[in-house]
Parts: sequence; C-alpha cells; structure tokens
Amino acid sequence: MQTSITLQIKLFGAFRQFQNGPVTLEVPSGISVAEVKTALWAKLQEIKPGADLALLHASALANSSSVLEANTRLTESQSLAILPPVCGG
Amino acid sequence: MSGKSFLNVATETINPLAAVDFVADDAHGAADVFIGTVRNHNLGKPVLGVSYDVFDDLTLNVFQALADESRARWGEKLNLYIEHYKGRLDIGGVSIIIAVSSPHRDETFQACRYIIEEIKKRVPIWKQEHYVDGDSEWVQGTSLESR
Repeated sequence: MQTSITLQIKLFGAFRQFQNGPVTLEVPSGISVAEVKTALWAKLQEIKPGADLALLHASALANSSSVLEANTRLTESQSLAILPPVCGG
Repeated sequence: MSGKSFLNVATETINPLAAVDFVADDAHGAADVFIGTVRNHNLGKPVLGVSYDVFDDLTLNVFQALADESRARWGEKLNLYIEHYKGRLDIGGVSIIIAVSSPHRDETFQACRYIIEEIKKRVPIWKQEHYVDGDSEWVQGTSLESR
C-alpha cells in the first residue's frame, strides 16, 4: 500500500488571491516537486474555478531554507511555499 | 577577524541612521548606503503606495548567503546591514536599506551594488502597487524556478 504525506503550502504574492492561509495537499510519498505543482494547480482550480494559473508555471516551490529542484522527491510531511516571480527592493 | 552583519525583515519604520551606526568601524574608511523608497508612479500609472509580502525565513537565509558571497568577493572585514520592509508603505517610505563598510571605498560600492541587484533577483519578496484609481496590482518579477 502506498503511504501518503501531507504538504502545507503557504501562498505568497499574487497567490494570496486564492486564500490567506496555507493550502493542504494529501499526496503520495515520493512525489516529485513538479508533480506537487500539478496537484497544487488542481487545488487552486477547486478554490477559484476558472482562475488564470499561468503564474504557477513561473513559480517555484521552496522550504524555509531553499528553492526546490523540480525533480526532488518528497517522502515526509512538511511545510512548503509557492513563490511567484520575485521583485524585492 | 570577520566583519559583522545585521539581517532583518522589518515591520516597523526603517531607520537609515541605525544602519550607518551599525556598520561604523574605526578601522573602516568608507561606508556606502543604498536606500530604496516608494515612488509615486510606475509604468506611467500614478501610485499611492506599495504593500510588500515577504517569506521571512527564506529571505533571511538568502540575506545570509549574500553576506557570505560579498565577504568572499570583497573581503572578510565588510560590515553589512540588510533590512527589508514587510507591510504597506506610502510614497517616500523606506522599503529597503543596505549599508556596507570596509577599510576602502571601492569594496563598499561594489558590495552594496551587488547586494541590491541580487536581492531583486533572488529574495522571496513581492510588491503590490496601489494606484490612484483604486486598483491594485502585483508587480511582475524574476522567476526563481530552475535557478
């Protein structure tokens, strides 16, 4: 039986239009970061049907210490963040 | 001996004098300061203010990386102060301050310029502009994907 993990994904910048708190995803253990983005796409569509999610393609998933590579595989429940293109300063 | 760093995400008004005081050092003959402020227009649209959204933990990690990279390139003795505002600011509000001091001026100019340019490309901070006509928009930026 495949185990599942829980990902809490914080939303920043333009993603705050969907909701202010984090989005929770139940996903299979071993899922890749690229696959998490696909699961997040579906969840955001559920929250706001018809929303333009082109921004998600240019956005990165990160934990509190680094941006994650698309082929990284996740095997533990954790807190992540979806980061749209940045523009500090 | 390595220089000192102050790295912060501020929710109170940023005080440029605190940055100048922090980097001051009797052995340093130069200090360079960059102050970013909210301007009253962008791309031809009149702006009333800007809200800054910040992923604090990762921002502080990238600030630390920038401090390390700056010392590796321009000397271990650099004193560094990097602070970015989080929340809403009106026109003229200070959004960021970077202060660098060093024994000599060239290193301070170069490190200060390097840090602000890298912040714009690498640090998880976003701006939402508020316009005079009542509209608000998130400013387009640089993707962190595949960096």
